[in-house]
Amino acid sequence: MRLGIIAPLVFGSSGFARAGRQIMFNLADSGVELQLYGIPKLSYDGIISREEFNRLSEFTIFDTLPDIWFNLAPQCMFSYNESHKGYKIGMSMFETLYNPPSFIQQCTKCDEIWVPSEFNFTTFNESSKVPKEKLAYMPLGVETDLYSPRPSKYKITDSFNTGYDFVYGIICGYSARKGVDLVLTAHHELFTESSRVALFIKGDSYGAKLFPKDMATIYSGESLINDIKIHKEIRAKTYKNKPIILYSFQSYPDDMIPEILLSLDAFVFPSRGEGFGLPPMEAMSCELPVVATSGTSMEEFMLPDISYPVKSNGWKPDPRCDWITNQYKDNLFADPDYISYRDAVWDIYSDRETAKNKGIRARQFVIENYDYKVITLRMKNRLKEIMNGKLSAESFWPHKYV
Amino acid sequence: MKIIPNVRATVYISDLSLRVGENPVLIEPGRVVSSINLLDAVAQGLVKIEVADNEKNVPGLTEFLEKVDEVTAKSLGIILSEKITEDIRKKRVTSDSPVRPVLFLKV
Repeated sequence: MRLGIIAPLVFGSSGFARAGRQIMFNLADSGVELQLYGIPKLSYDGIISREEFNRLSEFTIFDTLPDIWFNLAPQCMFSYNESHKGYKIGMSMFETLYNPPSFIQQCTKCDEIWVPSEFNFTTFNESSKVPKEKLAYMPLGVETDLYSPRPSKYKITDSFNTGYDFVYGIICGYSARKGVDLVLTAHHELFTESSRVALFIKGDSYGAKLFPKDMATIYSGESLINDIKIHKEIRAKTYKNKPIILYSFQSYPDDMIPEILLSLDAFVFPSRGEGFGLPPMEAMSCELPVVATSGTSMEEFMLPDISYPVKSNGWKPDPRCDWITNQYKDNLFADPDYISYRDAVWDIYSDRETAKNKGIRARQFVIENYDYKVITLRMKNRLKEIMNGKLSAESFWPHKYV
Repeated sequence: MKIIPNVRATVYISDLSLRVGENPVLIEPGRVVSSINLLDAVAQGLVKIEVADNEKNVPGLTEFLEKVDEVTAKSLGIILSEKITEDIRKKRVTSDSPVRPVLFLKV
């Protein structure tokens, strides 16, 4: 079986790019012949490992046409045109309650749409008008061998080599969408400068600009969170406590991310919207206790027995996210509850044994349901069905639709 | 109430009720320096306010101190934000700052 892949971002450092690479490598390992199209030039830039680069490069050498096309495209920016003959699969995702209107037209370029979450199965069906028969639920996965519990190669500290009893953190593109307002506020409410607790924030270059502003808001005694009533109750603590924050806004090579996770005691991710939610799942694979929003895509794996789900108070627009993309403007996000988030962090901090056990169960859950070997087998099975002429994807719907 | 100057002026106000929300006169001992809003002066870090024990029952004091608290925090927040921005830009760290660049120490 020859699969023609269009995935222009696959050489990048984003979670989406990493997911694309893993899908490709695992499909290739399972015997699918890959043909990588649309890569303008091949020169090694050090973003991914040399081994991965070489392997991806091999996929660009071929002399036959594919049996099936597969376009992995963020925001449904599918590249298909009349030159792409044959069955066309598009894989995409989005993180708000309603998909952007442009998705409707974009999805018609494909014979079938793969979505990575039950949440997106619903949103693509309802707001992008993709018939269920043309929708397949294909979760992304985790390299559970790489994201596995073991001593980290690194100790997380500061340049004074301060010894912290508890370091928890978030790795994200720094923005209100990821719930950094809740993270910073709760940290300042729960802990003080003398707590021997540090919050680690790993953001991107935007974060280097936004983070100081958010800190100014906290130190000014103003509210970062939307709930003014709660803010008034907690204000005295949040702007006077001054607990430690360790930050980084630089990029790290792929193999550093699991090491960073392994240096943490817990992972937090009170995101307002995810199409899949790879960071918390990677943390779960490392046996870390994870606090994340039980909303949008994360609802399907933020289960109470294996994690610390943050309840969502329904759906809300969040103008603080408008700068990220105009597709967020007036759209609706999940609304992670501040108290639920804060109490979950405190539960982990104050009862490490329970947290540890949840982490152990979380890894088992990830191995069983989201290991790349499991999910690429699922993908391969669907590709086989298509090759055999079964065009309805009903065997690959989420359980609740079956 | 004693207004402690960070710059030059020292002012003692015995009757707070006459001063809240008004434009008190900041004087250097013996002469007028400037006439500015008291809260602005606090926000600019020109003066700091302390309350003596015998002044705690002055009407309006609690509300006034809340406002002082707000402008002081705001001023501090802006200063700290500027410092953090500069620290991030220069990859600098100081021991008195609660916000620090991370260090991954090889073990």
